[in-house]
Amino acid sequence: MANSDLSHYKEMFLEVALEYVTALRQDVQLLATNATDAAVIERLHRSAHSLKSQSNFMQYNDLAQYCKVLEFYFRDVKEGKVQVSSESLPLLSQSVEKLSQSLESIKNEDRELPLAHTIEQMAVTLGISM
Amino acid sequence: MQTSPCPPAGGHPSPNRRGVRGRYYFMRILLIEDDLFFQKFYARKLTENNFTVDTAVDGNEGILKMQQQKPNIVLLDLIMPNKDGFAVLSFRASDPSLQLIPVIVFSTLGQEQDIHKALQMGASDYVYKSFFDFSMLLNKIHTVISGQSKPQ
Repeated sequence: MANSDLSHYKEMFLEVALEYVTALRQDVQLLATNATDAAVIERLHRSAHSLKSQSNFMQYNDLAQYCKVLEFYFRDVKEGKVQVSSESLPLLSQSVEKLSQSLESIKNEDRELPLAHTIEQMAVTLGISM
Repeated sequence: MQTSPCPPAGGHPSPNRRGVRGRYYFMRILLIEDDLFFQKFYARKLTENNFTVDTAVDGNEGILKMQQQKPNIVLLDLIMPNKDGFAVLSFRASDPSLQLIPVIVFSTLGQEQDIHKALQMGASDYVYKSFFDFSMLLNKIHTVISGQSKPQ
């Protein structure tokens, strides 16, 4: 739950966060046609990083940790340590939808989705050490 | 360095000579920050506290606005595309007219080396972006503007 003072900025957070989720969704779809597009991967990395930072700020800690896994994954892709595969693409799409669902929960119920278990699973599947 | 009087932290307007309540004094702040949420958030908070806020989304735009607008103070994110905060500080150090403008940098917890480097490059102080303490930011702005800038 966000700090009571920061709760006044929930709408601002959601407005910007939804833009990032939309961008993530579109760019993951672009990866399906070209898994090595450097510009797309850079955008994915920055979107995940930015969404992590603002989620941290608003104290949506699970959401921040979830984004951190994605940020670290796309960082590793950028650096050539891992490659986007046909196996990881569906997981990335599902991850973006999970982010969207958590934002809906914040909007409608004023609380993020509990994601701790999912974060752990996702990190293992994507080969990320947190 | 300009030593303009600072508005009260609460931003309470004061009566003018005609007795009509008006704004006391606007300090112009340039916020150089690529992250849309932090840009909007800090711009709104500063505006609520009677600052005039300009924004720039990267270092290139930030330098241009510093040159054009000569703000009273700059809040500068360090990690940005298209010229990062360090490049802005380096440019500022090479331009005597920009050296008069004090800079407070935004940093992320755990990047103390970045803070040290920024201070060495001429930043007056720093705040951690992810930990919201607006009164601390206001105090630092007032301290830096008044010329008592020592990083905390």
